[in-house]
Amino acid sequence: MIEAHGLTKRYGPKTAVDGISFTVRPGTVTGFLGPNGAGKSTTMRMIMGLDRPTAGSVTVNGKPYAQHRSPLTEVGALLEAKAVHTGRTAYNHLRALAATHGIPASRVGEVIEMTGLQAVAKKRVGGFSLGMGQRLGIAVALLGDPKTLILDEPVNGLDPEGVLWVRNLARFLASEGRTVFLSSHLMSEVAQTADRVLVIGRGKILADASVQEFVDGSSTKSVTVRSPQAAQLVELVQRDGVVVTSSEPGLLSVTGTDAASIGEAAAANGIVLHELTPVTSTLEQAYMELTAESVEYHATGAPDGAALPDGAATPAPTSTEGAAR
Amino acid sequence: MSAAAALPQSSAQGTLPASQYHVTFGHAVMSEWVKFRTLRSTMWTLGATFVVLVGLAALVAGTTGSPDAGPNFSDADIATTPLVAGTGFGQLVLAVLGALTITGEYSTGMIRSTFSAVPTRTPALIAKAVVVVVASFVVALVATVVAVAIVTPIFSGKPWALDLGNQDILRVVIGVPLYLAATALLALAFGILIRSSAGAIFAVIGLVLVVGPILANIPVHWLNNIADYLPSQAGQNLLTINPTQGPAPWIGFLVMAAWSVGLFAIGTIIAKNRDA
Repeated sequence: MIEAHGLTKRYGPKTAVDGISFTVRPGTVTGFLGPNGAGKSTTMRMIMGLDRPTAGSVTVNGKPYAQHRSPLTEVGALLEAKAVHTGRTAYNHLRALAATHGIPASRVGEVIEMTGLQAVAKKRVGGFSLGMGQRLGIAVALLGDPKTLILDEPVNGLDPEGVLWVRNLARFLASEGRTVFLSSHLMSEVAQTADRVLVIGRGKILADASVQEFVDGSSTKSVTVRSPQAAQLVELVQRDGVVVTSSEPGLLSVTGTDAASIGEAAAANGIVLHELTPVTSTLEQAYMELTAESVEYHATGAPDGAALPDGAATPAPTSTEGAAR
Repeated sequence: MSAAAALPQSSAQGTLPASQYHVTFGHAVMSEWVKFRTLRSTMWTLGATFVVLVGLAALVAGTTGSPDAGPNFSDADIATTPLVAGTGFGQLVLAVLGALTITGEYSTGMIRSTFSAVPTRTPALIAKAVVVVVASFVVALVATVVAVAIVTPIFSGKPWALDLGNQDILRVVIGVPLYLAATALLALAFGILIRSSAGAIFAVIGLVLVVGPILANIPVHWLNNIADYLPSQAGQNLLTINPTQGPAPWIGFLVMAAWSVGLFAIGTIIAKNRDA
């Protein structure tokens, strides 16, 4: 259980996390979703007592993290791959961290096996790939067999097999009654793993809901219509609240009404339809819609939707937060 | 990685009863000891310290002919010269070791793992200090004992025989490891304060090799007095048979220790309160 109350972090004039409050419950996987720079990592570092909140507070399992006598058995965290001395082997890194709690070497062997690191455990971490570093980070998180897991971008750098493994692991740990809080900037990842989503943008919570509620709550439900008499059909369905857009001749995207009424209107007027498809919005669309105005860095001149993923960012901060809404 | 897709069948719930494991100072020291001995830089710096202390002692003792002792240069001075010959270089090497112990964690991000495991931070930092000080002291002590074993037969029968029954000579023998351990702690303290390896090493070496000698050589009396109480200058009086200026030998060492411990305490308070 993680509880935040008015949690705020400012770096000079810049507010990274802006008075957020939320609860992450045990027995579920909660996805922490937001564009890069939205405040996810800062929030997670504050939960772990690494960064000091400017205001507000956050507790894990009822206490601030630093006040637990046995922090590693309360919370296991993957805060960033390679928070590891590059000159030390994976095994010795785990041994050193286990030693802080008197956790025996046998447990170190267990987590190495669980994360599939046997082959590289005696190699120095400096030579690890991103994926191996990520597995080592997860091994550290599991070391104390914690009640709560905090995983910051756990699938970064993993191959498809590794991604599947993290997904199954997160679900499995939650099914054991643990609290699993994982961040991602990829909606699709969270959609396949999480029960709940916490969406953050520009340091503010934009949504806190179950994955289903989040999709249902989204306003983009449209109907794709293909007709040789498109222009005629537009006149028929057009009324208040109905928006019709067209990206190519004969193809319409209609929002504000449903497929049944479009079909009935077409039949009543003898209009030929080649396609009539209700389009339910995906989680990805709901997310893009929600965070569109809160994306920290917009790629200029890129096609719609290309602004979110890693690397597409041009450092051109938008200055008017939410003003476009 | 073939086991990748396998679910952790026993996620070890039950294999680790939570209440059994917690952070204690002893555990923190064990953890820091594991970290310390599992880095190559540790072995290189401690090894170099040993070689320099023993090697220079043998070299200096072997080439000591019939020294032309000045008015302030007693037989006891001649006897201990080989033992302190390696401290100049040894202090630089141990300063690097002390600084790297913490700056290596800041530069790699390891510090976040350390402070996640020991979130109150102070025990982890004190444990680091204990490990650095004890390891430096032990290695320097063993090296000095070996040096004594090498120098004693070479100087025996000479007026400047290495006589451990002489209080001042014995004080120097114990003083070498104490001085070097205090230097390592001073460097650790700078490392905590500055966080960058280059910055911390530069600060310590600058203080020891540049600031002290400059202040000591400016012909202004009160500046010379300040120089006498800088950590390295004060501490070196412990290694001198008859210090002609500055504090008495043991007072000098206490001054140096106060610098090291004081800066370490300030660093710990700052590190405890700043974002990792």
